[in-house]
Amino acid sequence: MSVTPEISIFRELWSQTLGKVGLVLAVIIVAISIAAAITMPPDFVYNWSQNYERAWIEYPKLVPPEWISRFGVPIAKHMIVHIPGENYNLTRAKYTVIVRYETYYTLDKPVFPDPREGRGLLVILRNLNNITYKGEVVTKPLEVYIERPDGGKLWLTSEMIKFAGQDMIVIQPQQVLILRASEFVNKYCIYIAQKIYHINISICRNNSETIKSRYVEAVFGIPIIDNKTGVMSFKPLVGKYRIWIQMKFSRLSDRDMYVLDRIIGYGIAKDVEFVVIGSAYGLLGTDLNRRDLAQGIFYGFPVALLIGFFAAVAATFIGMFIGVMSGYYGGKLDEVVQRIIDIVINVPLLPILVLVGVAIQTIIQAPFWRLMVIIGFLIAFSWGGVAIITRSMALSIKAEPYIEAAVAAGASHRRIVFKHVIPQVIPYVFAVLVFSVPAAILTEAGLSVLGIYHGMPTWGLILAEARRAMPISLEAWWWILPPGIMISLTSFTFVALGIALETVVEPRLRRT
Amino acid sequence: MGVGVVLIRRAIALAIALVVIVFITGVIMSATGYDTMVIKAIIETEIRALRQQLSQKPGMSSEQIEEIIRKHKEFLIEFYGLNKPWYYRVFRVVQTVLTLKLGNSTTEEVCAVGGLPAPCRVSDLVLAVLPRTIIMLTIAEIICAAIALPIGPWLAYRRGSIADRCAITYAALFNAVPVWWLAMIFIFVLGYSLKIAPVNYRGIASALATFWKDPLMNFIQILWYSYVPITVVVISFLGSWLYYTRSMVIRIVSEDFVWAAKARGLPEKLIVRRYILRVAAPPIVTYTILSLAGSIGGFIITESVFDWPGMGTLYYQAIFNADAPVLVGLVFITTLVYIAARFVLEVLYILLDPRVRIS
Repeated sequence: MSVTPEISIFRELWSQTLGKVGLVLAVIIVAISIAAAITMPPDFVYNWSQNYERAWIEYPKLVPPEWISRFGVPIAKHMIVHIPGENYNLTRAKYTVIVRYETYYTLDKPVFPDPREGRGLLVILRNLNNITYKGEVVTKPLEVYIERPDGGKLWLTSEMIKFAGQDMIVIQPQQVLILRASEFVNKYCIYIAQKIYHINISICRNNSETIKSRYVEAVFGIPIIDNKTGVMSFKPLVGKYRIWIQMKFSRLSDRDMYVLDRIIGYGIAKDVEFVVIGSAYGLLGTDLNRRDLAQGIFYGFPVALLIGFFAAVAATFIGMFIGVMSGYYGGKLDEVVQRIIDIVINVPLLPILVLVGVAIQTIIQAPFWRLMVIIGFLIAFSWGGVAIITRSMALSIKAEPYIEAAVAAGASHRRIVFKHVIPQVIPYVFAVLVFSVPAAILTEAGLSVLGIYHGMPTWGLILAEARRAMPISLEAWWWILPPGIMISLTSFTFVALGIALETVVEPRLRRT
Repeated sequence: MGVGVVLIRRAIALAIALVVIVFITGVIMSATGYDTMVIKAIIETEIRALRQQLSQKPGMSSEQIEEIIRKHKEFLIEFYGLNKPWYYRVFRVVQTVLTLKLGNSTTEEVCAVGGLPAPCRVSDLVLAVLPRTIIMLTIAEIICAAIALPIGPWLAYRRGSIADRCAITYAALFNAVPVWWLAMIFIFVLGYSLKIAPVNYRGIASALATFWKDPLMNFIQILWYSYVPITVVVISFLGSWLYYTRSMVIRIVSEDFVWAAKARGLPEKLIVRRYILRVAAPPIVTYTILSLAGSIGGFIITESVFDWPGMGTLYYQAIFNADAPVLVGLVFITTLVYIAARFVLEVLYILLDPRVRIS
C-alpha cells in the first residue's frame, strides 16, 4: 500500500469486468470531453440556446440521421455548397451581361427533399458587396432558377438585393408564393407541365392550389393528372438538377456597367451558399429547431462531465472534511455538525432544487451562472451521507493506539488529521465520489426535463425539448434515444467504476 | 443515559430539523423575490379583469372606476402581504404550517391537480393526491422489496455465479438509466406505437375517486393506468435494491463470527437465521423504510413525464405557480413523513440490536 497505491488500485480495478468496462468508458468519455471543450466554437452556446432561429437556418427540420439509408430507407441528401464570390460565370450577350453562380444537386432516390417544411432549397449570401452609385446604395434583382433532369427550366424567384455589405441574406425561393404565386404557377404550368409532360395548361392552372401547397413536390417532381378527377399529384423526379442564381446587367446603362465593374473581382457576395434541404441529416438528425443533434450531443459531453465531477467532488470532499472534523474533535462541534446533518439529509432535495431553478430564472440571466447556482444547491444538500460515514470512521480511527502515540510524540491535531485520519478515509470517499457523479448528472438532466432552463447545451436539455414537443417528437426516435443513451452511458461508466472500487476498498465484498 | 432520554433527545433534534427545513423552503421562495413576481402578475391579471368588467357597466364615470380599481388593488396587495417585507410573508406561512393549519391554495392550476375548484384547502389537496402516488410509487417500492429481500441474500450466497454477475450488471445499468427516460420510452413504445397502454394518465384520478361505486370496473381501470408506471419504477429501482441487500449480506457472511459458527458445525439454516439475517436486518430495514417513506413524497420528474396527478405533480405545479401555502405544506408533510420514518428506525434499532439496548 505504501508504494504507489494508485497503481495498485488501477490494477485491482482492471482485474474486474465492471472495472475494466468502467475504465475504458471513462477514458473515452474524458477524451471526447476534452476534444469537445477545445473545439467548441465560442458562440456555440449562444447559437444553441438563443440564436437558433438564425444560426441553423440551412438545416432541415426534425429529420432522421443520414445513415438510415443504409438500412434501406430512401432519403434525399442534404446538400450545402459554398461558392467563393469570385467564382462566378460571366455570359456576355449583345445588350446584356449575366453574372451567374451555379451548382448541381443529385436526387438519388425517389424521395422529396425537406419533408417537414417544404422550403426545398435556399441560397444564402454572406458578406455582401458594398456598392453605391452616385451616393445611393445599389439594388438589383437576383433570379433563382432550377434546371431539372427532364430538361425543364423553371424560374423560382426574383429578389431585390441591396448591396449594403450585409453579413447574411437568406433567399428562400418558396417565399415567392407569398407575393408572386400566380406568376410561379403560370411559369410552372407553361415550362414544366405543358412543355414536358403535355398537360393541358388550363387543367394545370386549375390545380394552382395544389402546386402552391406542394411546392417542393412540384419543383422536384413529375406532375401527374388524375384522369377522372383532374387533380394533380407529384412523383419524385430522380436525377441531376442544376441550380443557379443570376443577375442581369444592361450594357446600355452606365449604372449597370459601374456596378458590374465593382462586382468583378469580389463577386455579389464573398460567399454564395446553395442549400438543398434533405430528408435526413448528419450523424444524429436534427430537432424541431433545425439544430444538428450530433453537435448538441458532442458539445454536451464536457458540460455533463463538468456537472458530474464538480458537484460530486465538491459534495464528497466537503462531506469528508466536515465528517472527519466532527468525528475527530467531537464535543460541541460534533453536536452542531450532527444537527446540521439532520437538516441536510432530511431535505426533500429535488423539490428544493426545482424551486431554486425556477426562482433563479427571474434573477440570473447568464446560462453558466444559472447552472452554477443549481449545482451549488445540489452540493449544499448532498454532503450529508459522506459526512456520516467519515465521522464514524474518524471516531474509530481516533481510538487507535497509533493516534495516541502521535499525540504523545507531540504531533499537532492538524498533522494527525491530515497524516493519519484522512489518508485512511480517502479510499472509501473515492468509492462514494464515483457513485455521486452519476447522481449529479441524472439530477441535472432531470431538472432540465422539468423545464429548469439554464441554457447550457446539456443532454438533459435536448431531452427536455423533445418532451416539450410531444407528441410530434414521438416519431423522432433520433431525438429521444441518443441523449438518454448518452446520459445512461456516462452514468453507467461511473456506477461500474463505483461498484468495482467498492470491492477494492471493502475487501469483504471480494470474491473468495 | 437511558434509552428513553436518548429517544427524546433524538425526537427533539429531528423536530428542529423539520422546522428549519420548512423555513429554508420559505426563505428560498421569498428572498429571491420569486413569489413577489408571481403574485404581482396574479394581481395584474385580476385588476385587468376587473377593469374590463367595470368598463362594460353603464353609468360609471372613469374616476369612479379608477377609485374602485385602486381600492381593490390595495386590498389585493394587503391580502397577499405584498406591502410587508419578504421575511414577514415567510414567517406567516411557516407559522401557519407549523401550527398544522395548512391553509388554502388560491391557484387554479394547483387545485386542478387534485381535481378541486380554485380556492381549495391544502389538506384536501394532499388527501386527494396522496393515494395516487401511493398506487404508483409505494406499491412499486413494495414490489421491489418483495423481490429483493429474498433474492438479494440468495445472490450473496452465490457470489460470483452467473446469476450474481447478471444481477450486478443489471444494477449498474439501471442505476445509470434515468427512470423518467425509461418512462418516456415506455410511453412511446407501449402507448403510441403498440397502443397497449394509455398515453394519458390523468384518468387515474377519477378511477380512484369513484372507486366504491363500481369496485371491479375501477380496479381494472386502476390496473390499466398504473401497470406501465409501476413496471418502469420497478425495473429502475430493483437493481439498487438487489445490490444493496446482496452486499449487506455479503459483508456479514465473511465476518469472523460466521466462520466461527460454521467451524462449530452449526446447521446452515441456523447460521443464516441467527447469525446473518439478524445482523443484516437493521441496515436492510433502514433501506426499506426510508425507500417507502421517500416514495410518499412523489417523484417530481417521473410523475411529470407520465403526467400522473400525484404528489410530484402537485409539487411541480405549486413551484411553477409560486403557491407558497401548498409548497411549504408539501415540504412539511414529506419531511415529516421522512423524519418520522427515521425516528421509527431509531426505535427499531433499539429493538433489533441488543448492543444498543444494553449500552
